Amino acid sequence: MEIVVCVKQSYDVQQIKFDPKTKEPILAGAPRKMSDMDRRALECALRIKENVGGSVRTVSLGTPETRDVVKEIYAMGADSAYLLTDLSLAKADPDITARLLAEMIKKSGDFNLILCGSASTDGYSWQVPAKISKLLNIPFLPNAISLEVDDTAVAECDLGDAIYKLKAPLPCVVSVSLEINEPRIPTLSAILKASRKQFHEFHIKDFEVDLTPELEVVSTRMPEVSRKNFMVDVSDASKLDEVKKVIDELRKENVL
Amino acid sequence: MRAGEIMEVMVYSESVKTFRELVSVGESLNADRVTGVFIGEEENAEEVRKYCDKLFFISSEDIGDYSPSEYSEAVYSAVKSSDPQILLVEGTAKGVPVASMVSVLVGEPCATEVMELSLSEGGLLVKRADLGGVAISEVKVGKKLFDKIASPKVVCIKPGFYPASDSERKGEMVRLKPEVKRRTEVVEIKRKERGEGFEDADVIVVAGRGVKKKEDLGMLEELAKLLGGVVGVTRPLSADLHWAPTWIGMSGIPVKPKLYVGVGVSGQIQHIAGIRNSKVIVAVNIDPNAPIFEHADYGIIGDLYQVVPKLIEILKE
Repeated sequence: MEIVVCVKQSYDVQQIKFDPKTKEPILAGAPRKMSDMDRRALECALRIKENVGGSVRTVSLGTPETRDVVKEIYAMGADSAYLLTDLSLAKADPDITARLLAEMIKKSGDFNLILCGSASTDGYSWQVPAKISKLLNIPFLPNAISLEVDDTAVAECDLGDAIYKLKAPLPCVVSVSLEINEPRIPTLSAILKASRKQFHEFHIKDFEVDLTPELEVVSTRMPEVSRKNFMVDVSDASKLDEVKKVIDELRKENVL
Repeated sequence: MRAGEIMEVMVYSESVKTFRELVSVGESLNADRVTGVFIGEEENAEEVRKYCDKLFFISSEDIGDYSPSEYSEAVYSAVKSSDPQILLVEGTAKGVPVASMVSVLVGEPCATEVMELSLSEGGLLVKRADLGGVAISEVKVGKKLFDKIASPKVVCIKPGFYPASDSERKGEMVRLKPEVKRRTEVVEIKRKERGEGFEDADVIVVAGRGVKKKEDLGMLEELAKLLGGVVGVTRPLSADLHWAPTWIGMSGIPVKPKLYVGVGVSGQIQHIAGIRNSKVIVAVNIDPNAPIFEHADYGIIGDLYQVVPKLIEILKE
């Protein structure tokens, strides 16, 4: 089984700070990590390989900071990692991303199964896996919470109002949800070995993809909702009666 | 065609309520025509037909149950049967994959996680949740509106951000039978228990990780009942512990009640993003540094197992 996993090095959104004046996120030098759902896609691929044999390779693209994700990809157990990094990719929209990833998947070899996280932790468009499947003209199983693969792929897909069990012939694209597994934590020796492994590098000039984004971000800001921040501290149980102050305020506001 | 003038907006949703919300979005753009695509049962198609000028109906008897690859082909057949400049799709787990694929088929951009849509200088401007819901971005969708025929820009609108349209357009219904090669098989559909109707609730009490046992939700049920509301949970309580079929938050159900009460909720960023539009936020947490307090109108630092019974006692008086 030749499995390709799309892995993004995302901003760690939990740790993003905002400029108190402009309310804009401070992204220069902001911490990054392997996108949460992509990590589960990689884990899923490694488990399938452990069961049925084959190989797991990853494809990643982004700004040069993306290179930092390679060590972890190898430490988890991938066989090879393919990378495309360029400063111009900072503005890549989901369409450009999907087109480049689809090309990278084809250029990097044969494939039976493509696994992606359903959405990246930062961009959160939920579009890329679906677009890759359409560009490669193969079926797509979205939001998998379980996946079994032999000569077909059978996934339980969380589609909001129901869990759909979908079955598709290979090759196909499966996007995975956070619930699909608990990713392994690499051992220290695996991490040490990983730092010696090389990645395969693509260059932006190898691709005939229009890099002009159709989605242009005009501004990004922290939403401003001012809150009263009226606090009572009843951690000392003798002050428990003070919670009444909150009820009184809510009644004054006509919320109750 | 004059710049900035929308001739046709097409909407696609499986749910009658969301369909009507999308019609409202079309109306807010002063579109000359709001057409629709509906895939499903004829009975529901008859219902949504009332709200649009023309409905393209594809029966699930002809095409089978939902699968994004096949349904995107079906929606594309409706797009080609008409001439929309904008295609609005429900911003849900089912809608977004279909929208993404149609956008590839028509060669136009797609914007997702959208809460607001407007026209600016003849182009489309959306407000969308970004950075996993922490931030809101303004995004220009495509350069021009009218460059090609039957190539709509695609926008996925999150449910609950626009009112359901009441307009009685009573359009004609056109049944399409697109030839779609079925490659995905739907083996089984397990419907989830219907949630508590969080979208319409005035008061929502949400249990977070501070709640130790599933049985303790009973205490929150009692509080919610006294407040005239319902009980929801955060993602770990639903996805990991399976105490409830769905969760409140950006990745689950975003809500905007008049009163939100978070009990033992620390305030994980995606959760905050999903409750941010609540009118009043109350938080109960033992940890004075819990991030939710920054986003709360009223914060109670204390042991929820003492605070909640006390709140119940006061409300009963």
